[in-house]
Amino acid sequence: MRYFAMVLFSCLVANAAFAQRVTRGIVLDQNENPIHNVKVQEPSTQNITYTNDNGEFILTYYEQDSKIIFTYPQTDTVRLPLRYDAFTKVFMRPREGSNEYHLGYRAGFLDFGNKNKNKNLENMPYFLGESDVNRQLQMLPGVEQGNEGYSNLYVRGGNVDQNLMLYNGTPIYNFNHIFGISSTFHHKSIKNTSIYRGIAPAKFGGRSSSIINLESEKDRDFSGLEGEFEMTPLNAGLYLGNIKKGISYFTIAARRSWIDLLLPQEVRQNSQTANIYDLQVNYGRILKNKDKLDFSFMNTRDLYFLSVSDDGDTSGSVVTRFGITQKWSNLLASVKYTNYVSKRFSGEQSLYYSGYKTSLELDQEIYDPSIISVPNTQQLQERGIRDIGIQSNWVYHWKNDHNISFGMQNSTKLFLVGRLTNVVAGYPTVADSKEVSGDIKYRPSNELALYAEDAFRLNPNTKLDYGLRSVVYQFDGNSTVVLEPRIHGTFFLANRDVLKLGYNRHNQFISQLSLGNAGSPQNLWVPATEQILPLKVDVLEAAYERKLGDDYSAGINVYFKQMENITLVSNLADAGNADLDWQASVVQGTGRAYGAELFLQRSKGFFTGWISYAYSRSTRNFPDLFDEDFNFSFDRPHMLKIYGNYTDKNSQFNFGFNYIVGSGQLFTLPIGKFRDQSGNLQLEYNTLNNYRSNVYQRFDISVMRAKPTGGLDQEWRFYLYNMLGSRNPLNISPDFESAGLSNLVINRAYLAFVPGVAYIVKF
Amino acid sequence: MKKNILYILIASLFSSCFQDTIKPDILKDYTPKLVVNSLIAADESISIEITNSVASIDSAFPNLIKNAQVTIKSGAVEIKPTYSDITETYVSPQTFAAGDILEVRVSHPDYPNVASTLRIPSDVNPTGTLIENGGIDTGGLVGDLIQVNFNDPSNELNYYRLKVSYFNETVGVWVPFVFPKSDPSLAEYNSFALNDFSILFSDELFDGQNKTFSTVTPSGIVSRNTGDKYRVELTSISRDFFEYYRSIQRATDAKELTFQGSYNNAVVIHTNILNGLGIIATESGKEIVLK
Repeated sequence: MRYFAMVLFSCLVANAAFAQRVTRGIVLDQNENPIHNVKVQEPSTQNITYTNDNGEFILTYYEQDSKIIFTYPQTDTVRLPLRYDAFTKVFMRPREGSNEYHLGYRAGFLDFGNKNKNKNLENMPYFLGESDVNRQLQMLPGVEQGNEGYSNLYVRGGNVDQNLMLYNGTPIYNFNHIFGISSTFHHKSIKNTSIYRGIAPAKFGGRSSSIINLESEKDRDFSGLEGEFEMTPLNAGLYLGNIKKGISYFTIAARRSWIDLLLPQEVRQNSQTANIYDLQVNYGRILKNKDKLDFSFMNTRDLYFLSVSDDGDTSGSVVTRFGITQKWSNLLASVKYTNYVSKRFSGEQSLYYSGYKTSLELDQEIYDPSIISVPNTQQLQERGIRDIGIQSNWVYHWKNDHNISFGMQNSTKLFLVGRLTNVVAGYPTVADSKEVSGDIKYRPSNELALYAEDAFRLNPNTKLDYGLRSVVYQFDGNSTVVLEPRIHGTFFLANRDVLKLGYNRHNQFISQLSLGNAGSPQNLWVPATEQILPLKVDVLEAAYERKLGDDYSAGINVYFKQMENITLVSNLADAGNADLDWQASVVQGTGRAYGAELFLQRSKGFFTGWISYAYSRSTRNFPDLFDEDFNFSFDRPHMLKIYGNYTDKNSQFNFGFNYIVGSGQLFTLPIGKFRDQSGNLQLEYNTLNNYRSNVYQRFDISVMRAKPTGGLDQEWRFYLYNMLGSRNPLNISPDFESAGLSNLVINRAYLAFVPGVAYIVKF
Repeated sequence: MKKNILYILIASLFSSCFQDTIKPDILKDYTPKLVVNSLIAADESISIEITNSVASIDSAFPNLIKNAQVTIKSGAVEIKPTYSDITETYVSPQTFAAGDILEVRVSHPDYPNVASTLRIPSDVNPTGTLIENGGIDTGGLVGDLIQVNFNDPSNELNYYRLKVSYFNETVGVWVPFVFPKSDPSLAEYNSFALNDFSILFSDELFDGQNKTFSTVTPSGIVSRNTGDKYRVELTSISRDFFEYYRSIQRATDAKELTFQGSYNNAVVIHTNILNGLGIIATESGKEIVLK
């Protein structure tokens, strides 16, 4: 706290000391996309600044009537007198034939919302026709889906739990529906998606692989109500957005599965049902003093219920019913207040809550005419996490070449690793009982982070972002302090090429124990403890970007990651047992990941898309499991991904395709069998993840037809997943026909020719 | 109509799921290995079992290897254990002492040669005491208190095996019983129990200390004994001994789960046999009989 107060005090003093005129604004192109690195200068002075990633600038200057000059390559220069107390939108028009696209400042930074100016992502081929932000991200280099068909994200050799997914600034702890098949977001509830795959500003922390920032629509270039109704094989969805340009916004997006509604109500209540829903509601407005207030709410739920009856009694009069119910849900709510203390000094104060809860209920009821009551037993297993966060993030414009970000972020996490409730009732010979074991209450941990970072423009061609994030972590009476250096340099070269170098350290005080596939609701979130140490990751990255001709841009990233204290389940059966200490069922180890990624994108013309290639390696070392390094489960050395989209504005049709080819997924197979010291047969594994399946290849297509009818825009979208029928394994399952380990059969399951369809009405 | 839509949707989804069987090359190209298993204790004769491994897809099972060449060398001493049809192991009356370093080599024309270098751990000379009716057992009754005490060598990771038995005078046999892991030094992650009621543990939580383990026996189990009552075995074991049995236990737990092809339920059994499989475990220690 003392450090934070000192920084705040220094900034306020400096603010008073340099009492010059200050003006603020944003530079946009004709499509209202922000332009960054625009030179903003007061004529005949050294008062120069540059727009940031969001196109925003703050300029300190001398004369009130100065005509500020905005210059940007291949764009007409703009001269404007700016009011010193106003926030001005400046529009710049690219010259004919210019290549306005470039990738941005930060190493590893890719922002869909700002950079992809075609409408391609809506029409990307999707699994089952369900627009899915995760599957968009999976097409980026260095981002892998994990198991075939799943909507998971493995970024540069990291686990799924190393991704921090933020929805309007609030972390979400399970971003999957249907056990990992689909993401929890209505596609219209997301306007901008950005991902930091390693190097991230000091403002972000807590996870070690990536920061994925999802922002809902908050403004657009016209006012009014806009809506969309969508029907896919999985869901029916509705989106309504009422935006008053520059004043306020209200958006609501909701989806619900509909297949279960085809079943009779009696069946849904008594026999079986499966349904999912998600809801996102966002509201915000600009206050009279130009401050902003934003509210965000999100709720998701999955419910699966199956009941079977067994009339084991020969007379048929006694019926036993067995039921299983699996549920999980997310509840997110946040409020953010953006305040402008002065022209130099602005802040964001936010408060959020994110709760994730999962439960598995097994119950049994006996219907016996000879017993008045209905004897029943119930076993309920509950797990979850609650995260209550408060943040105060500030930006201070110290000088034209120094912008300082600093702030305080506190996250109190409450863990329910496992609570088991057993209820017995109604048995004539047994007393009713209720026993609760495992965690009776949620157990708290606390992360307090303080950070400061300076964006320093050394000269017109060099920018240096250097900062420090410190975290005080407390759990179970123990406390730890860690420091995270964050530094990256950006060098603007000739021909508008960009070279970036960065180093970050990340600490992660939370892990998800995988008891099945990623996305499975059985996976449990656990805190770092005195025994299970926090994950520590060092990241080094370099990137080079350039524009190619008028239409193309390309980038290459190389990175190296060293990971310590990775947590892995070593005993699946016990880790999921609420009665046992999960710490005894995990091991910790180290990991290493490195690679190079090439990215070529075309953002103009009828045919747009990108080609990416990634060479990447990721290994793990768990001395308790195996003496040597072994490949990470989702290590895929070679991966080529091509996304293409053809859009002709004069045609009703739009075509898209994904083509992915690369190294197969790893599995572990027993290669031999032998007798142990007690004479029992054991399986021999030469290493873990010892079998790489066949070359992964997938070709997906989408065809869209848009037809205006009766004042509404109707769209039909058709999809086909894996249309070449490649045998990309969902899983590889070694099964012995007997307990004596004889007759091994290796089964492979795969998906092919998966159709998808979506019907959309826009209004 | 509703049902038709439902059926069409479900049918189209399931018609996209396929399954086949494969025979990966790593299974077809398997090279059988020698499997060497032995527990070499200080001051006890040698007995080594040698079998082979077979491919997992092979329907055959591992066999005893009876014509291998076995050599054990320690300093100037070199012995060649011979196969015994009685014990079905390679045996030698030669003994080795605590602290000895052994080089074991096994060769056979049909398999790659294997070797292992190991050390017999030092004895910690434990002492044991018996206090009759000195404690309360788990049933709330008065039982005998057994204590075993030893000095753990400092600044090195040591491993131990602890086993407690009572003497059944009626049938004249030692019967082991469960030693409760109630001592805080026996955490879940550094200790585990074997099927023979031994507890294996490391000294991570009491490195370099004078350590005493205690237990209260079930009330009255040796009340009619006239001579020997209890036997305490506390032996120093090699790290390989500990890691081997820990991996065996993990593999046993994992077998109860369905294979999914992931490594969560694939356990690499620890070995100290170069180019082969199995374990040559070593230990040294004393049996303490309490009367």
